Amino acid sequence: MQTKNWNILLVDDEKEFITTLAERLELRGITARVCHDGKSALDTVRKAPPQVVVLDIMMPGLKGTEVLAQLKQEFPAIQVILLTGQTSPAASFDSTLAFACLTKPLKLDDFMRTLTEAIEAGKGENHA
Amino acid sequence: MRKFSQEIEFMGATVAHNMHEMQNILAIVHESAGLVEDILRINPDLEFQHRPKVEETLAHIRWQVQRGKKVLHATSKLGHSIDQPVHETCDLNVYARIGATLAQRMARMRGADIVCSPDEQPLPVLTGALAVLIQIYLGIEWAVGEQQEKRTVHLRAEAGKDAHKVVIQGSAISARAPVSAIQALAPTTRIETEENALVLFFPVAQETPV
Repeated sequence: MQTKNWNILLVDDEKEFITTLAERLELRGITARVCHDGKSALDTVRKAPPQVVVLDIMMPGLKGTEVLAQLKQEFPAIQVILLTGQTSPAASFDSTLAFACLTKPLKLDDFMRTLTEAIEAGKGENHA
Repeated sequence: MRKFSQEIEFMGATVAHNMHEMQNILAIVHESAGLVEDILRINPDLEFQHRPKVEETLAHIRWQVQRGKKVLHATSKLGHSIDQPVHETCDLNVYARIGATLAQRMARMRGADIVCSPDEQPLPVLTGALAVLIQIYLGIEWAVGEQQEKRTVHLRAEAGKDAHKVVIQGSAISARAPVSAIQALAPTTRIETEENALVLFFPVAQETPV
C-alpha cells in the first residue's frame, strides 16, 4: 500500500460513521483528521489548513453550510466535499462553493475518485 | 382546520427528521461492513473456516443497505411532501416512483409485485405531491386487489400535451376503481378507467418544481 501525503479533515457529528470512514481511508494510505462539530472544524482548519474538508451538512450547532461559507471566505483554496442525505430537504445554500456534493451512505469508489479530484483541483490554487 | 394543518405539519417534520436519523444509522452499518470488506480484501491469503460465509453476509448487508436507502428516500419524500414550494406542484415522474416504493410493502403482503416505468424526463404537474402520492397509492391498492396469488402491477408515467399521466395496470380486477376517492383528493385530476387499468391525468405545470 502506497502512503499518500494528503491533508484531509473529515467533519461529521456521527462519530462512528466518520471514525470508520477515517479508518477505511487509513487502509488506503490516507491519514485524515476528524472533527465532530462545525466550531471545532473551523478551529482545526485555522491552526493547520487541510487540502480538503469533507463536511456533513446536517450537524447540530454550526451547520455544515455555515462552516462551508466561513471556510471559503477565510481559505478559498481549500476544497470542500459536502455530505448530504438523500433525505435532506432541497438545498438552501450556495452549493457552487463546494467542490462536490455526495450522498450518504457513501459509495467508497465514488468518494475516493472525488477526493482525488479535489486534491488535484486544490494543487492549482494558492493556499491562504 | 388549523389543528389538522398542525397535525399534518408535525407528521411531516417528524417523519423527515427520523428518516434522516435512519439514514445516519444505515451509513454507519454501510461503512462498518465496508471496513470489514477492506480488511478481508487487503488480506486475501488470510484463510479461516467461515470466510466464505462472512463474505456472503457482507454482500447481504450491502444489498439491504441499498434497499433501505430506497425506502428511506421514498418515506422522506412523503414527509417533505407537505413542504413549500412543492405544496402546489410536483414532478409526476419522481412521485410515481416514490408512490410505487411506498406501496411496495402493501403489495407484497398481498402477493403482488410493482414494476414502475418512469418517463425519461421531468413531468411537472399542477398537483401537490401529497395528493399525487395518495392518488397513486389508492390506484395501486385497487390494482393489487385482495387476491393472494402471485401477480404484477405495472405503473408507468408518461408525458402529455395538456396533462401528464400515470397508468396503473393490474390483472383480473373485479373491484370497482376508487374513482371518487381519488377525485376528492384533487379535483383537477381526470380519471379514466380501462379494463384492469386506471389512468390518472394531471394538468401540466410550466416549470419543473424544485
